Amino acid sequence: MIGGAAGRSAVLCASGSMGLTPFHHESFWAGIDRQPDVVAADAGSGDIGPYYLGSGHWYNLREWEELDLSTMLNGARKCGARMIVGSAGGAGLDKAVDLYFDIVRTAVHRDRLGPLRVARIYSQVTHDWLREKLDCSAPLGAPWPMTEEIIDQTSNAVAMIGVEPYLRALDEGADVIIAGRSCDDVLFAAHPIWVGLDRGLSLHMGKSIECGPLVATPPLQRESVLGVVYPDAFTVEPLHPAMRCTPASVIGHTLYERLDPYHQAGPGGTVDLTDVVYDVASDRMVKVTGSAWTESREYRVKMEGSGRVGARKIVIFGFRDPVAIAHIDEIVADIRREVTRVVGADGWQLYFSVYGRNAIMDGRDLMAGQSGHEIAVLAQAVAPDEATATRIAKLVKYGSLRAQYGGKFGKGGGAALPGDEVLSPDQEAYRWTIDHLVTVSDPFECCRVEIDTVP
Amino acid sequence: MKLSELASGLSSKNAGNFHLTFDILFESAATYRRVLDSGRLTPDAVANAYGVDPSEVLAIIGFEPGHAIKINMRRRIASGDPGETDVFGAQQYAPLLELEIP
Repeated sequence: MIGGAAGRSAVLCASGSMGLTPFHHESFWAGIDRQPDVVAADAGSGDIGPYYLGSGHWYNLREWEELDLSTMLNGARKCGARMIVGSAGGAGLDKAVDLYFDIVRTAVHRDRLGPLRVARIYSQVTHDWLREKLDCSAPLGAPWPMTEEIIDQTSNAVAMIGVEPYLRALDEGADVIIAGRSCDDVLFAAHPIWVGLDRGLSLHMGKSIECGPLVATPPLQRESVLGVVYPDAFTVEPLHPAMRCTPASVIGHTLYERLDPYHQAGPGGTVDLTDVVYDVASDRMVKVTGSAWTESREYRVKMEGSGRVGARKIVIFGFRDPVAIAHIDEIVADIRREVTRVVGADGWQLYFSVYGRNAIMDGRDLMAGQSGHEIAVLAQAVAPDEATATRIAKLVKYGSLRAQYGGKFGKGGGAALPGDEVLSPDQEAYRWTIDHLVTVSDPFECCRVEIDTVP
Repeated sequence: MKLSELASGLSSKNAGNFHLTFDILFESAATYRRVLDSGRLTPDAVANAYGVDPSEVLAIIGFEPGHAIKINMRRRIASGDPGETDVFGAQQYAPLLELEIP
């Protein structure tokens, strides 16, 4: 049916974030009863910060990824749908694609669902490949150019792939597709595009349902949503009976997480949303028309890279004494001086965020002069090695207890500590190094598709 | 009136790893028009609310189909970089609530 005039393609978004926490089964199975062509979910996001991409540590609990993948697989097999999961493991690294493939293979055997054709799409890119592409790169969000030095500072990098590798996997008969880092919209748009439906409508539908319930009202979390693409329109409908889509809820989601509300750019082109019309199709469903695809001259793919900054330790301390609160900058400066005295002036970073004053917005908070009646200070120490980070954290902890400040009341007046131990959230600090577009001559330059039959 | 009294929704969120986007939603086209045409929602006014240079306010975009106004800024630091306290950019909108619109 490739390139044919398919009547429609129905895509069930099982969860707005697969594996994060288990999705609700009632609305999922109600979606399966609607006989979708695809059961899909996005497992990743840049929102989770650079840590997981750089470190390769798992973002989700494996037991919840197993649960969500097994449920999706059983639902898909029950109605004969294909199953598509993108941005495996949160960051979309190759090792997460391998993990998901193992989980799917185990579920196929355990639940006797085989034989199934299972495709893996890998989109991690090597340092060498990035070096070859320096001349074809341009900053996207990052305010710096991609350079040899930036690549050297990068621990891991992934390409945010477009729809072409998904189309190839479907061409090769995939029942299940597990993909690395992908544009959120394409994994939902892949089947509609593959059967020959309009690319603009398909990608706009994908963008609409990629976060699941966020397109509906009220946005009850972990519920499933159905998107159906027709030759000249698409519809969106939540599957929980207490939720509904309205033109306002669908339009509101069009704005979500993007700078330009009129254009949805991706590899190979842009969806123009200028003339889109949102109509009420039922008391819970919205019909959308007018999303227009424009192909770009060049095929550009976003690269995400993350590099290790150092080991990280945190300390939390608080004050209730109004004099201490009024002198918090003095206390923090005193601690910083002591750290400098012991570990030297360079090679480490120490961030103090004062909750109750301006921790959340820092210098952008004009109400910072109005502290609360109690404050907490989050100190984040980052150093090349764990021993140095621990030294700094211990100096911060001790310094907060022995803080000297003007007007101090007697010998006490040290900070209130939630515990006397140094806290280690995830031990390591990372930063975004690469957030650039790379022009490729072939969409498959930055990814590869492998397909197996799982008996 | 304050923007918070005119808007039906106001939120902030990462748009990519280096930018913040603020979405201000209005119930009616009339309120949307009133705020957009007031001339008060300018890069200078937004910059003042955050104590930043107006050049940091990258765009203020009216989105007619959604009766919504979008404001874009660069993040203070890239999301999740050392020193981060709001990795999703979820709590950066509060100063906008107080903007006075005639």
